[in-house]
Amino acid sequence: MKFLVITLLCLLTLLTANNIFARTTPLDIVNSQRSDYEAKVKYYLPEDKQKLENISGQIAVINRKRTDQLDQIMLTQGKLLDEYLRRHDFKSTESTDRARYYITFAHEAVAFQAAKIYIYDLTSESHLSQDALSLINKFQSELEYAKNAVVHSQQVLTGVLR
Amino acid sequence: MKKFLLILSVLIILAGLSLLMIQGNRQKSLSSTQTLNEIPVTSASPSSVTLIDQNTNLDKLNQNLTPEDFSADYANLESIAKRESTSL
Repeated sequence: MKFLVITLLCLLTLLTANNIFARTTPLDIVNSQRSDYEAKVKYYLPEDKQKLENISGQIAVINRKRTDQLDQIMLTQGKLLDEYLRRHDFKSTESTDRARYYITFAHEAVAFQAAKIYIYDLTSESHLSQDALSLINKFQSELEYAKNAVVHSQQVLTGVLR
Repeated sequence: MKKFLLILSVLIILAGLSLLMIQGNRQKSLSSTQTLNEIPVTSASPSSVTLIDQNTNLDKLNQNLTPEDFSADYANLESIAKRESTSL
């Protein structure tokens, strides 16, 4: 009897172990959004689905192009700071450390933006245009955030180089 | 004593199995990160980064790094959405 109870308890632990150790990752969120989208869009007209995909495809193209440009800027900002330090015998100061921090921060923001996948949060087929515009607005504000981080690190770097 | 050993061995096997399942789950989630890599972080190669030598005016180069205005892209996206929405 005792053996059975213990075995059952162990089985219960085994079944719940994965839930205990599970951790929500950005990938889980993307997959969940994707499955929600796919579950809803399969009932939409094929031409409507195609239109939605055209818009999200365009978002991906613009995101890739712009984040590539921002990434180039960040690599050059890092090189500028390295060259400045080289010219000053590698003596780092509070301002150079601050510039390094913001350059790293902006570079990470750009990499994070580049990895984003935009998926519709569909409400209903009659609200397709609003859903599309809502995704575009989300993309704009997130890309602008990355861009503003780049501009800010450039301003901090300007303070060091002048 | 025999019972105790039996229970202990069952417990060890179960613990091992649960560890294997946890590891398998982690590997599964790692392999599915491929979907996140559909859009590469960057296509830039290090050689395309501006070369900076001793004669470069650092401040001037930094000022030239200001990102372009993205509003044309946003306007383009919105016009596509509006055009598509006329028949949605």
